Amino acid sequence: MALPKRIIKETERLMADPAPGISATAHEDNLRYFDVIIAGPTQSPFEGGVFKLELFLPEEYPMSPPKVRFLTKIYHPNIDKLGRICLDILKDKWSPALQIRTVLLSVQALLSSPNPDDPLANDVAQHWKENENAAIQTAQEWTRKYATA
Amino acid sequence: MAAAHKIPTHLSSLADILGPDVDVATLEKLHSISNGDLSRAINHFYEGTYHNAPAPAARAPAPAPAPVARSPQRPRPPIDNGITIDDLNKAPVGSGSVSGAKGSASKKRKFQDSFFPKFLGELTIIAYALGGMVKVQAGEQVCFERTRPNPQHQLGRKKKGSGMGWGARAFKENNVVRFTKQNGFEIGRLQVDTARWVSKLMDYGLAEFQGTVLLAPPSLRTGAEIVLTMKCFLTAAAFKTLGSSDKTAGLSKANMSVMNEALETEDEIDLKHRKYAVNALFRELALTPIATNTTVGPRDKGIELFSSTPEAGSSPTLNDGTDDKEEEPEVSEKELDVLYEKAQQHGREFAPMDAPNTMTYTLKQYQRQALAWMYHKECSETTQGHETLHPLWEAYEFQKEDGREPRSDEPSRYYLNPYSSEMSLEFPTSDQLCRGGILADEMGLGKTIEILSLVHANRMDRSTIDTPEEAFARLSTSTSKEQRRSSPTTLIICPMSLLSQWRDEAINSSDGSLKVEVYYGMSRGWTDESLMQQDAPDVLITSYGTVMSEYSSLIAGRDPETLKPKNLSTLDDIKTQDIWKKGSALFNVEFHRVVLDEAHQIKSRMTKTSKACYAINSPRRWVVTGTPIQNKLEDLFSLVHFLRAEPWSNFSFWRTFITIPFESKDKDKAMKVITSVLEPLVLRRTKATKDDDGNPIVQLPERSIEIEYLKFSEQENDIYQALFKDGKTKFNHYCRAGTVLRHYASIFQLLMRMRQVCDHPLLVVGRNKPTDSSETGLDIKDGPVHLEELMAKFSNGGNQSDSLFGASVLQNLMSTTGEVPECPVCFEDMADGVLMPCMHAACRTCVLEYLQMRDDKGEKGECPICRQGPVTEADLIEYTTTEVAKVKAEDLDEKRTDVVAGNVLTGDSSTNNRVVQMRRNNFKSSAKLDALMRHLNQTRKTDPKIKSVVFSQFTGMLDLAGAILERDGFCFLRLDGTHSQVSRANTLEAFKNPDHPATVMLISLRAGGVGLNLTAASHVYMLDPWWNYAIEAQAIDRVHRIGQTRTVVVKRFIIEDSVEEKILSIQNRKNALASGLGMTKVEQQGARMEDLQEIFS
Repeated sequence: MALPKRIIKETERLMADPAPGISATAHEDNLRYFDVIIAGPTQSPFEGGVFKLELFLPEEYPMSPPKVRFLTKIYHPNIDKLGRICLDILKDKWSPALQIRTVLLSVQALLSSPNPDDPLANDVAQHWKENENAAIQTAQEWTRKYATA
Repeated sequence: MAAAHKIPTHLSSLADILGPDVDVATLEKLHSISNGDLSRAINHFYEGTYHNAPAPAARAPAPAPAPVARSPQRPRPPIDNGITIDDLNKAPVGSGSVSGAKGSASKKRKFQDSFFPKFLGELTIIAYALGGMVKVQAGEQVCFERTRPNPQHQLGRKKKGSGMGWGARAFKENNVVRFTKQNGFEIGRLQVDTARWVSKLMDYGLAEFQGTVLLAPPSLRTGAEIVLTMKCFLTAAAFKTLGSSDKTAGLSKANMSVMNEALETEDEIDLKHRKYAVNALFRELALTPIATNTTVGPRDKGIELFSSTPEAGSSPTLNDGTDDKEEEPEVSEKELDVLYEKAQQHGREFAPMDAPNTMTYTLKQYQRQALAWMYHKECSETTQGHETLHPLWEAYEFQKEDGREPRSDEPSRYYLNPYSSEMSLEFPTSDQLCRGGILADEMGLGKTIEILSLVHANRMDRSTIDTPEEAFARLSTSTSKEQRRSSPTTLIICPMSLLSQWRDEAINSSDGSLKVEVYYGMSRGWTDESLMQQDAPDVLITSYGTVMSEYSSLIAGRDPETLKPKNLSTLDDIKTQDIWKKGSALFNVEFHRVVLDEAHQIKSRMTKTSKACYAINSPRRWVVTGTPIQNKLEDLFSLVHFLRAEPWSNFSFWRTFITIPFESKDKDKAMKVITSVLEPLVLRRTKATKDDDGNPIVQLPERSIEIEYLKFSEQENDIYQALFKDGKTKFNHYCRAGTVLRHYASIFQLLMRMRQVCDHPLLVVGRNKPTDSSETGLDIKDGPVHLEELMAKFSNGGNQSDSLFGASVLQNLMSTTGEVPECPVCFEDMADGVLMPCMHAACRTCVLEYLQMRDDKGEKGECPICRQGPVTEADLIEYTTTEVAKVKAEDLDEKRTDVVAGNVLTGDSSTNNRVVQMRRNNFKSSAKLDALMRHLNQTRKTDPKIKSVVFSQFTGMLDLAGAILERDGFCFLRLDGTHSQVSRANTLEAFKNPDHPATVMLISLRAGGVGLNLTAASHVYMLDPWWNYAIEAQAIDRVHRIGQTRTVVVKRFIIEDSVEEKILSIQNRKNALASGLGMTKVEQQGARMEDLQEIFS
């Protein structure tokens, strides 16, 4: 299966001109599979953390969204224990005009602004709603614990 | 005859030989102990060895069904014609066949009553002995026998049950001819070379042979040489006409209908062998014809082709039909000259003939010669004092056989057709030679007039035709369809564009005594009855299209094979029958004469039009064309076939003697043959042909053809270069991928666009028709307009940022950078981009895929970029490339600064529409239009009477030229493919009229290249070059032809450093993109590749 030109171009551009705080590297043996690292955004509970993710481009890409998952444990109301992310553009709001870069930027933005009203990890969301400060503190602890080398 | 019935077939030949006295049981026994071997059986019989011979325990399985019975291998002693040959008379073999008690024998008796077998000649041959006990002496008579399996070896094989034995199939592969003593003992066999043809002649029953030993060694060891003299006799069968046998009837039918059958049929193989054998016989006997018809010339021309063994490879003989036109080599210019050389001499041998005084025109000298020639061709049956030998036949004299006086009633001559191996005792006349021919005078010599003079000169005697009353009486009394359905009418078939020209010429040529009618469109009121009456028109003019469509309905209504009506059982059938009746007039009547004008229209014999023309019935058949051979010799075949010029109208003959030799090394021979075919058929003179006094027959005014090189304006150049780069990139891409051939269509489209930009950049814009977007509220008709309206939309409504964005998108599209934007979905260059209503752009395919995907999910379409929606496919607005957009930009600029140019336009709705478009686009000239107007304005100043013709291949360019002519106040006419026949006629008439204000005629090259007479004009402008200069030359000759009184000035506009210059250089090369359009032919693609590489270099 030949790799679509779009994927090649996207990969090239991610390498040549990476988005700040984000790196994505394709596996040599599977160019549809990317190792992703997102730096925790400043002013967020995840600041200082380095989060590993995996990103996979399905066969239908770009008509179907990429599959993205956190590998690093993270305390976030929209990310569950398994690292799955609740983000509309990864689901029904996907558009083929979006790209790997825009997806990862969206994920980065999600770290800056958790949305407990549309939770994926219910207990975390609950915590966030009831006691935001405590939740943020937990998030910072997790970041130190799991997301720092 | 009763006895005959009792004799089983496998014994009949034995019974034939042994006579009626031998009973069936004996025959059966003989048959079985000899294993069906005839000569062994005979030996057994005469040696009496059969009485105690043990019958084989089991009969050989399925004994060969009398293998010898039907084969001619049995020596048939020619005893009953008065020849006495020692021994033979005594041999009971003879008495058997004389008895005539059996059916087969009685048939033979018919021949025996006559002088057959007829002595043909004698030759000395060398044969080999087989060895054994046999002894022969000089002077001994021997019999020749076809192959007979060696009993010893064959016996064993046969028992293993090859049921076929040595049936007919075995003979073909086996050429062995043995010779035996009179009593049947085998002596030896003939040399292979001799046996090869002798065996065939024996197998086909064409000849019989008698041998006498001249010299033989005392002991016959195996391989010892025996010298024999062999007398050859022709049998009656040899003189059977091939056409009468079922075999060849089938063959000729195959030639007629399924000429493109690829494989040789059994019949054809038979014929091939027969031909080979007969020709070998004549060669070996050193028979020379006493007379041949010089038309074909000495027979070595073609006959050598198959005097070698027929088995040798792909023998050309009758290898019917592999109709690979593709592989046919083209006829070179030089070869054409040779071909026509003789045809130019025609007409000289007849005294020039004046047209009868019913014709108002005065003929020029060469036209009078043409008339004389044609008249002579038509009336040849009366002027021909003596019968001439058919061109393919040769006459021979029978040789006297030693020691025998021929009977008085024996013919002294016989005739051979070496090409078909037919022999005849009757004089084959050239009667069936066609009355008609090919009038191939060069364009402009007045072929039309020549034909009309013939119509005047050789009319049908109308008194032989029924008056209407008689016709009625005949119709009501007679039910027979067999009667002669002849009409006094000359049917003229021409391209639709020439209908009115023919009609006018015909009417003008006549003092009123010529009744001229057109059979076309609605005016097709002629039934076959009315065409056969006295008041039928003298000249009926119709188009190829009409003939073809009537023929099609004929085919639809009738069985195409037999042309008999199909069984009419249903109502539908009857209806179609009615249609048939209505459309039948052309094919139901025998016209006095039929003429095909511009007859190269039927150069392909497989098209319906060609077949329709073949089906027209008339004894006088003429073909009028300036180019009887356009590319290939086969072009000519179709014409000859139409003329029914025997025998060349037979495709087998044609292929055997012309096409195949031409393809192979025998080109010269083929050329000789074809020259001899053409010579009596074709009359061709060119403008350069000299009359008897050495002056050119036509004195045409001078003509100057000049190429005018033009430069692009800067803007045009930008557009062109962008297109060229794009094309080059694509072409190189295809080249690297090796897919050039697969992308021919798109490459040619690229080329087309480049050529159009050379004319005017707007032509490329015009091609950019957006999808129908009326639903979007944008009434888009044309690219430029649509952008304007988009701009308007964005400046009127929507919020500020949208408007800004839209403007920037448009700005982008108009940018002159020539950079192709990238599709946001597939990241590819957006070659076929579409705009969504939000002004976002993406590839058409990507957007459609996305919309489809959303639709599949039950969601409404939206822009993938901004999610604005709903978006449907109909909302998409196509645009092609930035180059295109740039032109739009120009127009927009122009719009802002300029005012509407022409608003005085009238004319039919179609032009009106176009012009309205033009106005909206606003008019912009181009380098070529500027040059054109410069010349036209200049001409108008110096001599306002001079009329000009402007040719272009692109009707769009004609639109633009029309617009600019309007602007400068020229009155012009226009002719293109969209014009109906009537409006064409009116247009041409108006242009001819010196009082008509129009001084310019715009003509599409393809609509106006053929047949038109435009001598009213003397200036010609070729706006764009065509791949093949011949087409341009033809167009120029419409002006530079008889009737032209002024010097003709031709300007060909060529843009410097563009594809046009390369086209010019390709034109000058031999392997031009052959006639431009046929892009499928494999062998030309190589050449095309070169051309393309040159263009994109």
